[in-house]
Amino acid sequence: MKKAIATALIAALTGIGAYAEDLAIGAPAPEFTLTDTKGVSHDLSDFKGKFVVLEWVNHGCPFVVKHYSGGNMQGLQKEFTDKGVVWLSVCSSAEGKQGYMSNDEWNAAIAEKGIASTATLIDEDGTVGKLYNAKVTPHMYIINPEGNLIYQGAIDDKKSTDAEDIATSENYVRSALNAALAGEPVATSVTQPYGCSVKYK
Amino acid sequence: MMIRKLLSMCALLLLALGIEAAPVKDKHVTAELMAEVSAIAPGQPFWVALKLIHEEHWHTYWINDGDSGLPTKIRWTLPEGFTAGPIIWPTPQRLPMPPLMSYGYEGTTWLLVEITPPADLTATTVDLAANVSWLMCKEICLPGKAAFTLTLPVNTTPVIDPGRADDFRAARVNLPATETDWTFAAHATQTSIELTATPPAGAPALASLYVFAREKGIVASAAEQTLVRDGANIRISLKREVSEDPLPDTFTAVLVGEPSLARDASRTGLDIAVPFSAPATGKAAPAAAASTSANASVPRSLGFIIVSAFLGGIILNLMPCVFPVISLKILGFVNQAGENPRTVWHHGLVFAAGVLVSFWILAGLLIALRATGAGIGWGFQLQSPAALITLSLVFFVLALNLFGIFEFGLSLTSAGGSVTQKQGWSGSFFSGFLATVIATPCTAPFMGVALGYALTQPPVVAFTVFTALALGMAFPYLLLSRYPALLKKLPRPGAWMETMKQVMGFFLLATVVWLFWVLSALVHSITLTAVLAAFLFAGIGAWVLGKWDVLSRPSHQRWIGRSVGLLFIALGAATALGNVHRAANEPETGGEWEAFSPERLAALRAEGRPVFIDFTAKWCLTCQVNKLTVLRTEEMMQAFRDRGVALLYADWTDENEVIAAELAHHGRQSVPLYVLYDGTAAEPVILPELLTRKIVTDALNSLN
Repeated sequence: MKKAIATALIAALTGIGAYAEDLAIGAPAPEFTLTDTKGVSHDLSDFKGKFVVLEWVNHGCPFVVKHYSGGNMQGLQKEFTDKGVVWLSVCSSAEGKQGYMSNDEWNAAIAEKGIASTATLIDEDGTVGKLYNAKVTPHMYIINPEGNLIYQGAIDDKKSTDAEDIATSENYVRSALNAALAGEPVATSVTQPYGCSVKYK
Repeated sequence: MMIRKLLSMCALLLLALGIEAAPVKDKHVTAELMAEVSAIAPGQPFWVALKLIHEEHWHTYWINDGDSGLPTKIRWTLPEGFTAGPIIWPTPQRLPMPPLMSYGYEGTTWLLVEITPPADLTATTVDLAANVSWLMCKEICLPGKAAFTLTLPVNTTPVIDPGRADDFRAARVNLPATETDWTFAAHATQTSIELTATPPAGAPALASLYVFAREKGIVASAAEQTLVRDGANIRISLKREVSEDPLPDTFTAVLVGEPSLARDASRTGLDIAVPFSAPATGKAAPAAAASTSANASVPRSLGFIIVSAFLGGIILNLMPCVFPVISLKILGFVNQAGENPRTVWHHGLVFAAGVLVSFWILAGLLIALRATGAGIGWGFQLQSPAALITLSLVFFVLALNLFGIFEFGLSLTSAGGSVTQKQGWSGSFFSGFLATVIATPCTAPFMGVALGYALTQPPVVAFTVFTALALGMAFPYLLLSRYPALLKKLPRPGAWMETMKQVMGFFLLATVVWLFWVLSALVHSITLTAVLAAFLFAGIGAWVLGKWDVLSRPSHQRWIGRSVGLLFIALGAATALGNVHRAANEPETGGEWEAFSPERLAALRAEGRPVFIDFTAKWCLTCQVNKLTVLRTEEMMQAFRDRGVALLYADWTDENEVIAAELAHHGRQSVPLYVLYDGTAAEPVILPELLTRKIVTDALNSLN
């Protein structure tokens, strides 16, 4: 802990971007508070007792487009929110960078694309993104009802921008959620995420 | 005739024009596919290049794209019998986007591919079609693609195209070299990959060095790479990426040094493939017994580890700190011998279950602690004063019980820890449990390997290894309880048992002394006084129990006696636990033993002195035995002096991060660990965990 504080201090003083640690599977997912596109504030702890999916999103990123253009991501959101899972899309794009949208633009996009997540949270200063060490869009996390992280990484195993690959890929998020909902251990709980870098400030 | 010749010349001219597919610009990158030859020959491999010209600040990606991105792909459609090799990637550049780091190319780059035509090629021209796709990013990312067809005539020998010579020369200069005069060694710890680079004699000093790991998901690309000069060697510590996948056997990377590490200094990059090794591969350890613990190489087959863990578990029974419990348990077997063999067997099983469950709890705790990032290893429960106080009180009271000061009432039988329990499943279960608790500080030989391995592995594997350890530890009990024939060889119960019980009480008291001594290293003297007072209260409590909580008394007196007795014991516990004041730990150095620090070690090694390091802890009984019977003997000290060996003492009694890191560096999670550096740059020798004077002397004799 002392070491972490010292590292952070040195980084802050010298202006060097500190390397963020990846979260540990099984450890409590860090608490955060963010406001959604409708102006409602959410704490992660509001959702204790439910599975929570965090999806880092940027609709200008071709990897995100891959999963939204054919409705793959929306389908996944619907499938699991119907089963009582809380799905939070998080946008950490800074204002003026790709993927950033005003609340009105977001709500229009949600309606137009049929986005079915529980809420879309705006993290324009990137605090929560960096807290979770979200590297890319889409970067996916799953938190269990006890508030512990049970999956982090890619959405599926086909690293590409080609929507045609979706049909033949294994969706890690679906596999993990289905296992966890059935009370079984998650077979693959860490994968290397792929996508565009998160457009931090 | 003339016309035919003209026509054929025209055809050749057309073909020549068709050799190159025109450049394609898609958004911010211009791609062009080109062959090094203007004509190919059957069976003769030739090179093609995908030239990518990026607009300013735009980039495409290397095979390991780092934190984000996508490597460029070429999908070939080739005539029958043709094969295309993999992309030969040029040396990448760093593309920092704090807090992220990606790897790729800006400016102009060439990706080379070798194509091999079939030996029995009969066609006069061939079409090589390629669909190329890439991801280009500046701030934002865009996918790009292009389709090319190279049409090449077939000749008897290949014809080099002079018009492409510049491109291919530039392409090859950008490739990482494979020849070098440097040598490399790599080993992995739980959190890092340590690469040691040894320069050739007379090499100029390196101004900088960066390691591009070739495989994604091995090294955290955004983490800083720390370079340490270690004599002539350079040590680079690379942070490992969090991953569930096992490490490959070989670390592959491209090194970019200033000046270049390649033999051909015009190449900036150097390709390396270094097998991961154990920290102690430099020399074989002197004793045969050392072989299992010394070769703590990181990727081990799970089967080997499970067998080692099982054997380690059996050997745990022989360790000094398990002795009191094993003796008591054998006493229990004597009592059970008169019973139904089936019952005895079931007791054995329940005992094994107790061992198993306690190992699982321990594994769960270790995994949870590791997850929270605490650098704590084996034996950690004896770094907690509260745990030490509780254990010493329990043992003290148990000793009084064995001396016959009081007998356990029925209400206490299931409270746990009643190791002398004659019957009852919970007694068997908890004695299994207790055996484990006491055993953990003694890391038997073999166990270092299993533990180090388990803690670097996913939880499922870690649990498997702990299960094997537990089964090994329970094995002798299972054997005895399954084959009561062996039990019959034990003496028949009788008056001698009472004597034996009392003797066992002294063993328990000895354990109390040891626990107290461990505690003394951790806490202030006030706390120690409080613990002694707690023994007094517990003694009074036990005496009250023995005097009034007996069957000869009326039940109301018994009830009061029991309450008062237990109250005193509780008061004792409260007194001790309520007065825990941690003391700063003073390492036990002095004389020729200096306190360990990585800086001191580096300084001594820089002087070229041999160094011996004693990684130890007060709570580690094996360490103490080694220290008193071997290391601190006058004979050994003289041997160290004769060879000018510097002696470092690394005391891990508290949860010291620096020492934990150094242990991890040697692939260990626990003490004892004995390391001998020979004064050269070579990797150190690791001595076995149970030392003899001969082992140490032999190791010293191998120094030159």
